[in-house]
Amino acid sequence: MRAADVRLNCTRIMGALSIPRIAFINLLRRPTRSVALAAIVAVSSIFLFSGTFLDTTLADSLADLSGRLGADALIVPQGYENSTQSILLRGDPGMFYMSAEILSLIATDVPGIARITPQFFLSTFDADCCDAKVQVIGFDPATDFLVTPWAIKKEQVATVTNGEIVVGARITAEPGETLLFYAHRYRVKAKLHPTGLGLDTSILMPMSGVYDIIRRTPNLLPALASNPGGYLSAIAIKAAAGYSPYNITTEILKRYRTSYAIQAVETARLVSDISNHLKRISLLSHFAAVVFWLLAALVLAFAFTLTLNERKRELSLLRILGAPRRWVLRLVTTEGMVISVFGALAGIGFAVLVLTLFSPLICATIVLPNLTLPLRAVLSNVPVTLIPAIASGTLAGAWAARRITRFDVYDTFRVGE
Amino acid sequence: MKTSLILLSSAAILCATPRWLFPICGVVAMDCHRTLVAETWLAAALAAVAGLRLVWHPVAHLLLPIAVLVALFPLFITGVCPGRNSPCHLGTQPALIVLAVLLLCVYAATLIGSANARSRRSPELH
Repeated sequence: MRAADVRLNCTRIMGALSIPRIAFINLLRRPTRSVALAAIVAVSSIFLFSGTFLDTTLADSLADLSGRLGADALIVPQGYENSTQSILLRGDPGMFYMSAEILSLIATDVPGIARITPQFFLSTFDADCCDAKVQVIGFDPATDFLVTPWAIKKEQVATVTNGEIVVGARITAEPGETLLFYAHRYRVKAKLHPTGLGLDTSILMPMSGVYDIIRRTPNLLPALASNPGGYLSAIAIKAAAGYSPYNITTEILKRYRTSYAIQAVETARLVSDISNHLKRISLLSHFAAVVFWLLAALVLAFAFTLTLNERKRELSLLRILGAPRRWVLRLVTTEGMVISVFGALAGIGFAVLVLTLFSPLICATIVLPNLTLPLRAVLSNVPVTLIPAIASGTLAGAWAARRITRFDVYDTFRVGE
Repeated sequence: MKTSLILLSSAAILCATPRWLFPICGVVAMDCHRTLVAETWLAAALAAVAGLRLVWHPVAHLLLPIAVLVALFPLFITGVCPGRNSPCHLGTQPALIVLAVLLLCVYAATLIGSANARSRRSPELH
């Protein structure tokens, strides 16, 4: 045999006996044990990833919430502040009203208002677009500054007439189609861009359209049926430059709170309320993630020690055949690392799948605006989970291997006999 | 035996998902109710595969079409209610997709297990 062939054969043998290859074969030979260990890493990764991901993504989606809402403050009937928040942020159907007189009073008497527009909230009972209740929002196209900026074609919203509607991004209807509700067919005039707010699942129509519904359906709001035009649900206000929304709402409440039973909702404060709510959830998820990570590291160290106890004879045999202690340590550590990598990747993949699919349900449960999962946020959170998950598995393997290989090789080999 | 037990548990979870875990809207005329009926039949098929696997291993290959159908029924074939805030849209559909993915993982694990068993029966000699 030529020297080159001998060298080639040696390279092949060394390749076949490389630590990663032997580690892979060991893991594949015991699939149940390997899957069980990887599952422990996967569970801790799911908690770690979900915690950090929800934290960053929700913080991102809240950052421009105030801007997306469009108004600096809303004037609503007393006791309906929370309902307003649900309608605006999540599109939860709600219906309330107050006297429309207040709109002209505020517009003329209160200084510092740049723009002011009324809205009427009504909820459907059945519609062929939707199998559940849908929020219908009446708006005034002439003065509106909340809906129009989101329209795919803005001029279509400005010219929407009675009998026509504008639909949110998540309503299953396109411009030109008709939708039936309150026994009347409405033509879809325009569709909105996704807002991440309640507008996504709302149907919008001019105030006159809403008043027609109330007149046609006297049982819906009997008190309003004779003169629906004298009522509205909310007044959105945009402060002029140099004026603070707080001062404007204080002035409005000072003048009209008692006589008209109204309350003010400042959007900035609404965002800070959600932020505080989010902080509590974030703290809880971080706590759960850290606890699960520590628990997973402990369980892994324990599981590795148990499995290596079973493999004492196998490892001792390797030592007797000439493998140095360091080589055995590296083998077991590599096994731990491979298990951790697969477990962590599987956990992250599962967490992304669940978060993507269940994000609307999560938002509905924790009363927050619609959650989005941008790829950038997913990718930036992967290392935050991968590094501790892999480290815990690898260190647990190394720790267990050090303990097992500390004893005398011959005695260890004889123990199993 | 282990795989059969896992498949039987999966069948039970599949049956329970649209009924109790993530219940559908609850009206018989709706699309989601047709999905519930279809998923119940798929759960029955899964249970049958779990039983048959004890005596005939290749029947596990039926897991692949079953897993695919578990996801296709709520997504395309029968679908769920179009209302984005309806319980079947928010909960049932995502849960069934996650279950389908888990069933695919079980199928992949079964394939790896079978390949391992074959290699043990005829070990390679280097």
